[in-house]
Amino acid sequence: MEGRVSLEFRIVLLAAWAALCFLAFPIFVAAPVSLTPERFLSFPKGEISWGHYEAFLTSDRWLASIGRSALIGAISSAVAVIVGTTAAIGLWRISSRATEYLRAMILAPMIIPPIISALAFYRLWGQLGWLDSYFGVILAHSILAMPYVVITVSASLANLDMRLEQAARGMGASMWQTVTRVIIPNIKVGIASGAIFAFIVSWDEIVVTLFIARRAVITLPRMIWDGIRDNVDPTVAVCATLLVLITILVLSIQLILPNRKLPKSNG
Amino acid sequence: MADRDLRLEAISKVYGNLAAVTPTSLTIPKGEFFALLGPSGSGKTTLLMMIAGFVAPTDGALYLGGKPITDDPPEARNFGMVFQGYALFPHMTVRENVRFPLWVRKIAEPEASKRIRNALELVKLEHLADRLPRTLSGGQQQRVALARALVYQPEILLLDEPLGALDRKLRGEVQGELKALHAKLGTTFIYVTHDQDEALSMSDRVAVMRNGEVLQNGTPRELYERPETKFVADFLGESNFITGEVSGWEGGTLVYRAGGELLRQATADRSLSPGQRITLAVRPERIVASPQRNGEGNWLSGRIEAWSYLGKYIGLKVRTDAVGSVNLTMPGWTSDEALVPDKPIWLNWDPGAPVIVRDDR
Repeated sequence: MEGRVSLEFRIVLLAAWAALCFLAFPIFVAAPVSLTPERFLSFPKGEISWGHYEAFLTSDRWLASIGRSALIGAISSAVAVIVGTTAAIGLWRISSRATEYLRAMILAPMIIPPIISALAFYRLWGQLGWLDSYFGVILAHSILAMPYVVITVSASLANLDMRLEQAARGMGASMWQTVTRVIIPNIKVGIASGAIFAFIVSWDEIVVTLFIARRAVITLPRMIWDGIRDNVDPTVAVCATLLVLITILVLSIQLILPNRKLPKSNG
Repeated sequence: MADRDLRLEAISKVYGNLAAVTPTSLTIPKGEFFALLGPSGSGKTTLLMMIAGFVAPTDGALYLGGKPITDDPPEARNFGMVFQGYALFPHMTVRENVRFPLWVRKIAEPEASKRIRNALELVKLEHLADRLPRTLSGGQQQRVALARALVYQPEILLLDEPLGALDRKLRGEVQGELKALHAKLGTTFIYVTHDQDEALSMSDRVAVMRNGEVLQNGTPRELYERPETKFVADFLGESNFITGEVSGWEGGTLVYRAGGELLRQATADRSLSPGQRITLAVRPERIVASPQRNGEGNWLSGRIEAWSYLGKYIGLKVRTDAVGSVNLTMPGWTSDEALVPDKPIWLNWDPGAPVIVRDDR
């Protein structure tokens, strides 16, 4: 009996490790490649070189694209958070059959395949003259990111007692005061995670960006894409490695920080 | 202030084809402790929510001091509300919760702090001012909700089953406190409850609701002693129901026949005519049990079916030939006579004890 449980456990353990290795696999490729002395994507043979790191960190084009992506991500996630939170609160407040259809509509950008969205954005932005503009890219990213905010904020709202809003209104608070002083403080966690998701959606968005941006708005994913397609430049591997290292660093700090309170849902 | 009564005029609420509240008219004088009493689904909370302004009436109008307020949003009505489950803001301390309505009204320091202190003193919670609601007990949370609803001196305080979540003993205590608070403040209290004891013991006046309709409203005493319908007689306290057929008048007393017995009933209703069917409600404590028949009045013979000793009183169930099972109570200390099942016994009540009720079941 015990032997069987333990065998099952071993299989599960093995599968889990295999899955973890698979997930980590890209870094095992990217990291060595980033250290190649050659001028093309390859594994270093014997000798390693930091040359591509130097090239990456001194390249105006790379650094500019990082700044650009960060800016676009920040603005798009801000727009997505504002619109998404407002929408989620409205849907929560009214909560009828009609709002359920509306919710499905709002989540559509997440469900529709990116290539279809890309085509739609391309046609519409073309007609509106927004192609290859910051405004166009930010707007498209905001739309793509908003569903994530709606989902996380709605999840937070689901735990919120609807009577809190009535209580605040009954005591004389306006809708604005109620939202800012009562509702938002209680759904901070949902808004924050929505903002993070929204930023990530924008940060690594490539499909739509490829369609609606040419030369004026080159984002980081676009630089990576071009780096692989055009010149097989190992700098791409440097970029990938650094991104992974930064992520690991941030996560480690978060885990190591003493007594960090886990986000608590309001029950 | 003269005439700050709250008046409901044929107010109703219909959801789809369900009438949650049928057209209801009530006047609640300033300073009254008014209870809306009814089982769940009777529309009492919907009626309260319409008074509060959270639910828009389908039809009808609300007046406060003669001024229509039907279309005012809740925040414009200046009513206080204590919600079922209290609805305290979980991210604010007790003090911040109580401060919120003052902040909304832009009441500045030091007035705000003074009022908060007074409100917390009123509910005896000064020592917990800096705690978060989730660290408080149910009774304490209930008091915070009360302090928060009273701190801005609302004209009317609305309470939606405020004691529903408390245990029995605590409920008794808080009932007393609420009543004392009402006497002290002179604010109109409108109190929704499904608990008849609560409504009877606390209110100046009670409206009994069922299926969206106010069946009767009056003082607790009127409702208990003069219920107009079978539902009210049964919902407020207990009643035995007797159905009979009018056989005539004997002086000023109505004579009716129930299960072959001729019984007498004092009534002012002269419209009753022979042959008419009537329903009477009689309270268990108004029926007296004796070993033998002695004297005039309504007498029925029966046999003891069951009994239970309840400390304060003894509950007795007697099976009669004429009207079936009858429940009655007698003080626990009066009789040490042996109560034996199947023992013959006589029941007697005064012709003024029962009331003729409308059969609305």
